[in-house]
Amino acid sequence: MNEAGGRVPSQLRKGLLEYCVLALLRDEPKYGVELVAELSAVSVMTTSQGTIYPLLSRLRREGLVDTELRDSPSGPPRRYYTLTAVGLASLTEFARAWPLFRDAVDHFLTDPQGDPA
Amino acid sequence: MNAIDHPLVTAYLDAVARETAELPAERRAELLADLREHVEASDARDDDQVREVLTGLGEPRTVAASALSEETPAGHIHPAPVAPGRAKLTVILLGCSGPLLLASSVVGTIALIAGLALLWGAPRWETRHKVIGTATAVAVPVLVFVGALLGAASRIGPIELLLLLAFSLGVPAVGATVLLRAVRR
Repeated sequence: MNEAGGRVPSQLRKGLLEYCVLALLRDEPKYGVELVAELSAVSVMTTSQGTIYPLLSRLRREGLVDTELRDSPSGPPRRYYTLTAVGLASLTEFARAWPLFRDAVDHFLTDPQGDPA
Repeated sequence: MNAIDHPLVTAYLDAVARETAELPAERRAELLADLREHVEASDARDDDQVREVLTGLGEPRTVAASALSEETPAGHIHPAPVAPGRAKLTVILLGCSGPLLLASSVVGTIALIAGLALLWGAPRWETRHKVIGTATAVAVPVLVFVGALLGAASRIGPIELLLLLAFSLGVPAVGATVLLRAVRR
């Protein structure tokens, strides 16, 4: 079991990966393979690229992202993912909550007995 | 040769398909299409490159497990829907059991028992609907039985016969309608 494949990274990914996907879509639509490549470029974010597709499917069903087919310069049309208003709201909420959680976890990890920052 | 026709890719997709047998057909097809597109976009040319792309995707079992867990996120587990064919059969059996009972007690009883077994075995209907379905379906045999006990059969006139016919057609039909509406909601 390598560092990124252990139980803790896998638990963390489960909760965080979808917000990373939403963040990647904030500025422009992307197609599936492109999203997967950008996520995998940061090794801790995914060990099995194939697991991102079911996640994208759920985000679409929950209305956080939308898909559209666009012609590709080569080969069949590609499915592009775009952020919806609901997805943007979810991302904004996460972006607000995340620093608080990150700081709180850091606090307990570094100085569990000390005063809260 | 395009990577998508590579035997390793075919074997990989087959393995994912096998492991995702529980997924709804539409979801499964979507996942396989996504994976296929991923392989096609990779532009892998030789065996080693194909192997590398498949390793990157992860074990078929891992991908399948992820698909199954995204399907029923914790706390959002939906009751399994009734297969439309099965729901229809249930409703038809229960709805027709009344008139069938009047025509032939054997055929009617079989239809009634089969319908009730299907009804109570289906997870989609709530207990409330199951009770309504059962009550409306057994109303006819109960009425016939009580009538026979009271010796009414000997004094049945055309009016009573008409009422009995209307009752045995109408009450199970009402029950069947309630059950159908519950499934379509």
